[in-house]
Amino acid sequence: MSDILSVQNLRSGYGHIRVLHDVSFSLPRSGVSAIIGPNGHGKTTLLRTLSGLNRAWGGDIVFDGKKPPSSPEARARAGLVHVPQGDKLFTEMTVQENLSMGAYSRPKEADFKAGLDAVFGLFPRLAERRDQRVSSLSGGERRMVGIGRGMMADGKLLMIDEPSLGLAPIVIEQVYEALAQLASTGAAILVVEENPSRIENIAQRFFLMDGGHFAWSGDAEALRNSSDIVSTYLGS
Amino acid sequence: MDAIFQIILSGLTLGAMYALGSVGLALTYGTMRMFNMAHGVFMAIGAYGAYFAAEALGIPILLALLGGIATGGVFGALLHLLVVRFMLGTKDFEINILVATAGVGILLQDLLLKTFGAYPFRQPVQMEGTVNLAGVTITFQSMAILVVAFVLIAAMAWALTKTRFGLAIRATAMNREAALLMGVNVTAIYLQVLIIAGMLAGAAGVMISSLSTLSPDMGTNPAIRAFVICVVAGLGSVGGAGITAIALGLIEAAIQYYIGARFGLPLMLALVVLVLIRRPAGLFGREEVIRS
Repeated sequence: MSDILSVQNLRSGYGHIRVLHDVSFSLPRSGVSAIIGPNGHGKTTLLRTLSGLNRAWGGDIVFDGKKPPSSPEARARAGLVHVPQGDKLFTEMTVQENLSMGAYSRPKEADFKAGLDAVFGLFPRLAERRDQRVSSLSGGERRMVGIGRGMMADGKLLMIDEPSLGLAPIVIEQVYEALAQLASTGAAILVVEENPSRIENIAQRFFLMDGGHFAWSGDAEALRNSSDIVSTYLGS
Repeated sequence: MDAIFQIILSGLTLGAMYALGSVGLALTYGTMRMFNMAHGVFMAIGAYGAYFAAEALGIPILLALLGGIATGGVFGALLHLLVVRFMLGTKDFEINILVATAGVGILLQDLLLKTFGAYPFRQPVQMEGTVNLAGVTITFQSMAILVVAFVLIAAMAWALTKTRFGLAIRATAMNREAALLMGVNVTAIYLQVLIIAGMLAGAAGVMISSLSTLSPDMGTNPAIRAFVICVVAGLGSVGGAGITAIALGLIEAAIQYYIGARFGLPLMLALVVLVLIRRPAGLFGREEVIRS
């Protein structure tokens, strides 16, 4: 079977400033891939360009064997799901309403109840808080709602931007445990993460983003053997 | 004692009309950050639509009322398709759309004047007669206003909170970008919101004209009140606008009875100033808190 996502020479940016320089990569239909690298080098811009929130300046995207539609809402309906940085939740809605919105583009044949059960199975805390407004939740719970809302779309590729951003270390561990569980179902997941040590046991493929293009890529084995490269970029 | 009931009744009638006039405006601002300056003219258009349906076409008044509501909705759709659609997402949208809709309002008001003239027609879509309940005189028309306002606002509240369509509208209002990522066609949502706001304005126009007369500028004063109500409630708060409208209607009725009819609007505005000094974000509004 062909790759779920294949990107050739993707370019994008803001105003006159180009951020992405000829990014090329492809992702298989299952497993976790991670984009690592320092802040301010285009990781978030890449996800935003893939989901259609930012316009691509050039290059080709092939998603699920086809050129994806241009508008972000049509891409979401095609199964390209983006969990944005900083959650961007519907804060005046309840947890359950947020999850219902996540299922807005869920395929008709997919069972809504089964999706809800999967989210609550992964994040039992959300089941307890399902009727609470999101504005009353803690940062970690909000992140769970964000990821759960993305799961509800039942898409073909789940892209998660910095699931550890702004959380306490213990909460980061919980979030990554949940991601490992989600990965074990065989879903295709693309995670953006500044710190590779958080994700090295979960992801199978790593792409190091530097200055708007991938400076290095490889599997988990290669990442362990290239600690010098990684530490050069990340200073750890 | 009878006076109290009379005040409450006329206050509720006023408040119900204000609510019809302002919830659509609040919904539009809350969802699109758009203040529709043509909102008052939409009221007049609804009123003339119902008048035309009843007088020229001879349609029964209940259907004529629906006709007036539908006319408001059609003009809401036209406003989106011919003007708003091209301005969405542009720089300084909030200011530009204010100017653009003000222009559309002037154009439509002049078209009304050209088509129907300035003669103050009587609104045929209304109910005659009164009933005497425990010493309080109630006109059928004020009961009709209460019923129409209640039915329409309840229907809108139900749709916004209980349906998938309403969920998508609220989601778009709370976070446009996230709504896009959920697969919501935000442009279609904006069209639907303007249709709903137009229909509510049309209904408000029919009700307002039934208490006075038709005129092309009949929407000006009610629209000012609707803007005031939205600001006091907190910009974009739909439920807040409904509650504030009822409260201001009751207060205005009391002022008119005890102090004098001509003090109604000025004292109401003074009250509004006091409220805004205490709570700049409005009664139901929240100070914006940036949080990632």
